[in-house]
Amino acid sequence: MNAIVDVAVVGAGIVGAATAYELSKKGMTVVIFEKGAINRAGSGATAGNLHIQAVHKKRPGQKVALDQVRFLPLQLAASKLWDTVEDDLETDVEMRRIGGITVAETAEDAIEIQSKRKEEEKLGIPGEILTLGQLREFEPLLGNSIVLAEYCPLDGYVNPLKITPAWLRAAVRNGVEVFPFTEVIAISPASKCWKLTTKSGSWLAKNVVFAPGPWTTHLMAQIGLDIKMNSVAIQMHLTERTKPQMRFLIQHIGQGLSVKQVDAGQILIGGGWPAKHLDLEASSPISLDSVVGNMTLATRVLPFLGELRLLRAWTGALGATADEMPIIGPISGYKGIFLAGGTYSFTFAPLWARVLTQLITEQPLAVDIEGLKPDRLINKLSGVRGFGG
Amino acid sequence: MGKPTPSRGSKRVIETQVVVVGGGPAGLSAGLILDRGHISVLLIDENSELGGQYYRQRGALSSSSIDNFRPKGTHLVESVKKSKISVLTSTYIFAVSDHEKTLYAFDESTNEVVSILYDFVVVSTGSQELVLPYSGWETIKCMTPGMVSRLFDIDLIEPKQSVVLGGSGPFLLSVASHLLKRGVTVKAIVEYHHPYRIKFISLLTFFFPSRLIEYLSYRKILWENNVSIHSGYQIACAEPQSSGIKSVFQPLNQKSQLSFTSDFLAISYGFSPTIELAALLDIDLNQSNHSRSPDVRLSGKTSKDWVYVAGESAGIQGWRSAKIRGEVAALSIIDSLGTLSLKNQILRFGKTISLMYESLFSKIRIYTFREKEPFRFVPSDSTIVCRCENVTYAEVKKYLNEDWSSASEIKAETRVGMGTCQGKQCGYALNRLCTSPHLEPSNKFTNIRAPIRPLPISALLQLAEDPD
Repeated sequence: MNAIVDVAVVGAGIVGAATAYELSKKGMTVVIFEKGAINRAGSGATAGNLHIQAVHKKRPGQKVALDQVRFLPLQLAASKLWDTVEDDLETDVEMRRIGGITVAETAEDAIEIQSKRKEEEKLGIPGEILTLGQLREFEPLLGNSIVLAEYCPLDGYVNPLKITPAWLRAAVRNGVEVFPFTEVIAISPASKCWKLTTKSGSWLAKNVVFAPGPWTTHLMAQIGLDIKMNSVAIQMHLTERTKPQMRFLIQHIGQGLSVKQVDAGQILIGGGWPAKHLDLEASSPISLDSVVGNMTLATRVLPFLGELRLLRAWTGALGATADEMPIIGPISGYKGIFLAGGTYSFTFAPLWARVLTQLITEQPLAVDIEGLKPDRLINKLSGVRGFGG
Repeated sequence: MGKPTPSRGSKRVIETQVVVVGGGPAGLSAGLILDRGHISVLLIDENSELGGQYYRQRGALSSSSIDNFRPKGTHLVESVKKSKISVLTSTYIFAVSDHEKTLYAFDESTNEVVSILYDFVVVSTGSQELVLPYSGWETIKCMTPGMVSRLFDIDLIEPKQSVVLGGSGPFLLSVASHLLKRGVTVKAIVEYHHPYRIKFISLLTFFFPSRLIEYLSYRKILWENNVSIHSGYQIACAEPQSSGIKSVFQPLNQKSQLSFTSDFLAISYGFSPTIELAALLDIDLNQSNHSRSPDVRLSGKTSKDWVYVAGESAGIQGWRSAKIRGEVAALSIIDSLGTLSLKNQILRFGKTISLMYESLFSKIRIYTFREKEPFRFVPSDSTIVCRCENVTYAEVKKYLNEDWSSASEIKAETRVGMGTCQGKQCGYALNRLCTSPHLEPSNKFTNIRAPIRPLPISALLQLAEDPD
């Protein structure tokens, strides 16, 4: 048995890595367990967008619409934290706050853009509505189907393949121990702490942070909790390298679309289109229907894309909840157990790291997490019980 | 068998009982057998001419200087052209439908996407030369033996120039002999192993007289041209100089280095099956030595009833085997349709016996060339390991020793395997190099996903249009 640590983090995706680092800055002893390779599921496979203006409510195939307005204060708080990430890590993770344009193609979509802009204004999120004339000047690459758009200078992206390893490296410098390929196979209450069992030994931790993304249901079952998730694998598409020509992150208010040109010169096209099916054991297979659907939409909004060649597509599992909202906070009756994840975890990662650290160190929270706590999605199973509840 | 319904249709839709992908020895012979069995066949090939690597067309100069040295191939191609087989050249498969019974191909000559509805598919996509990076391999005049041979064949390179051949495998002898006949100077053949030492197993080749004659004819040409075979050396580096490419070979034991200067340097370590389409069709694959091959029975059958794999894409056995495997796969398809005549049953029996005989020879070859042992492979720090993205081994090495190293992280930090070839050329080497006790054991540098070849986005849009 190893010495008791302050916090054990389960899952070395973007949320787990950011949290381990944030905790280590407070001088806590932290270990982080990952069942596979680090940064493997959605964290490494996502398009890597930082969404600060209000997002569209439904990705293709999504049944329940998310609460766009509830997101806004969280997005603004996350945006402020992202501002200092590269300086803090002293490394280039290809963060580019290039600004984002959300387009509308129908009258209904246009109304939606206008109403979301009003909500953003209430919170002081910078941005402006672009009429057709303004838009032609602003981004001439956009197609004729667009009727209205909104620009937000805070939108941008980070290289998803770089940020999680960078946070982990910084955490390791602060003394955090990282255990990849180390699945937590059992979690049980011990004397005033939790015992985590892996194939390479057991650990005692005063607190456990779960950030397991699509494996949330599986891990929560180990402590006797049934949590309603709606995990899905989504698909990303990349063109061959082309001359620098896109200035902004382009998104759609009514349909699944995000397009931007990355540092390497390639254009990354996403928007949450589903893979053929979710496969948690291997890489989820590509859906050709989604390739075609995403490309059709992308070339309508940005006609120049039709001239490029599609180089590659890939998929990543997304740990979405049944209500499509984030999940963050403690679990009632299970002292020292915290859960974080849900939709838009990439954008929210530094915020969830901050909030989890504040929860563990019993400090006031950076944002209000009412309505986002795990309890709303949990059924307690009989058997295992926590302590101190 | 009911016709599959396409999940989406392009303007151009082809319905066929069997689609044969790859027009080399296996694909051509499979097509002909099926056609004779009154089965509709669509044969597609990514090159502009049928024939594959073995029977492909040659340039005018090349054809005039040597007689038709592979008349059987010419005959096969002619027979296919005369038959009822539909042929689509300059066309490659890039995806399969979400339900797998439609193949989507891109015809480069017309810029059209073709949806192919089929009952059976014969994957005869051939093989590719296996390359391992060495210092200087990115230089333009460093290539593979197959490529050098091809460039001479299509008159892109003049005869009277010189070549050094290295790596491993019987193919080096065949290429050397072919080049010598064309008037090319072969300065040396440098073989990694010691396959040409006489040992007990060599006696078994007497059971394969045609192979023995072929081997002796190669040796005769080499002898007549004073070309020596150096065994037990591996390429260390290549350096362009004013007089040509200087190549240095490192001995595997205590001998001294070898060094040559030639116009071209050609290195390969045998072949590996081209498995992208097989993998896309989601059949079971065998895994060995950081490479994968389809799990194929003698009949060409795979884990999916409607997918057959024949020829080199089913495992490296050479053109003789490829041809027979194509025929056996075709006969098995006819059989599963319940229309295999007695004559064809006898034919299949005979072909299966010859296939077993050929497989035995490939076992001898595998043993002789010690193909089961992975090649020792230690690049220097400055060696480019990914040519598309120009990444050196030193850059990759930095990320190999972290406790949490993973292929995706190494890719992210260095961009290895992320260029135009998508790991098709460098993937095997990267899978071999990126092994540390902590590193994820898998083929992460050779992921196979649609599109298996880059294609214009505008072409993909044809799939969104209403087929009516």
